[in-house]
Amino acid sequence: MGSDELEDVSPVSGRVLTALTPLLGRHTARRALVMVCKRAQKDVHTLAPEDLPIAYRTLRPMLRTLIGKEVTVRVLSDLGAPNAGDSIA
Amino acid sequence: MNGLKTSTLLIAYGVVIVVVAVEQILGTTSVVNRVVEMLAFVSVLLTAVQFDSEDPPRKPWMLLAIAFALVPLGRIAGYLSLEMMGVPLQHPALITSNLLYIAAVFSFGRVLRSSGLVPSLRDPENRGALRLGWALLITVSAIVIGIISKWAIEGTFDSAKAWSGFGVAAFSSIGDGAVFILGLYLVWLVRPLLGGSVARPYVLVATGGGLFIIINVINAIEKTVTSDQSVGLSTVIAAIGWLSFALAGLAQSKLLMNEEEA
Repeated sequence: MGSDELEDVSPVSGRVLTALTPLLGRHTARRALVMVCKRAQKDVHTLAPEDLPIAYRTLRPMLRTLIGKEVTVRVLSDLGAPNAGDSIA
Repeated sequence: MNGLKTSTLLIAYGVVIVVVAVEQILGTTSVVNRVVEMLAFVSVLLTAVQFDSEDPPRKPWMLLAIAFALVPLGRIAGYLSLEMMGVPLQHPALITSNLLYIAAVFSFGRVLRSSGLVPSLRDPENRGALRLGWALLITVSAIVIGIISKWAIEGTFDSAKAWSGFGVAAFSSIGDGAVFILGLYLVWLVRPLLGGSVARPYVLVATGGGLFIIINVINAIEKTVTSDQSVGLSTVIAAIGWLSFALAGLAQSKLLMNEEEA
């Protein structure tokens, strides 16, 4: 992920991109971020720390489907989700 | 969250190609292929059990592991000449393996689609890809029908064993054709994920599947144009195919373990 891309978005959006890009690639990480923003009714420039719970709720099922519980917990922990594993059955 | 490095993959492919080539030159039996088959089974099985029982990817990896387990079991049955009602047990084992293999690749596609992060062929912007998919399906079907027809015309079906042998060959070709198409679909699905470590196992599974239809085509051509039933190239490609499956499992395992690249 280029630094230009991170400068282009809010710090929280940057955190989401930084956590997801190694796993999903640049294009899909961006797509996941857009889905989070849509759910939070914000854009990538205005996504804020108070939107992180929405980010966790949006990302959790899609990551679980794709890579399983363990990695999902790790990614959500990287994003600062409190007790990331607890809500994953 | 590292995956398997490209250099690791290239070294593994290089080593297997050289060892199989040396084996071919020395004229020994395909020990390396059998070893790589076993590696693929073990690697894929270990990957499947690493997933939580309710993780969606566990199912396709488990289906793949069972499909791969049936290959050496079938070979053992063949080696021991085990038969039931005149049909070598090796044959139903290989047919079942093919079916499970198709089910696994189909299931991988379902997992990817249900994540909501990959494109859909139903999207209007993907109509071109859908048309190309149909064209490929028709082309591969024509090749497979051609191969099976040739075997049907040239074969002598005077025993249950001959019929089941033909059944295995036909099923194998249909299976390889299906896996080739599904493999391409899998690559198309994971295309947006390329660059991320999630994509690599899927691409390697698709590569392994794609190589087996090439083997079928090579075998059909060899039988047509030469009386020398050379299996050298097919053996090398089969080893690369099995290695791709083994590496797919390893790549997925590494992702799940979050190991740092050595």
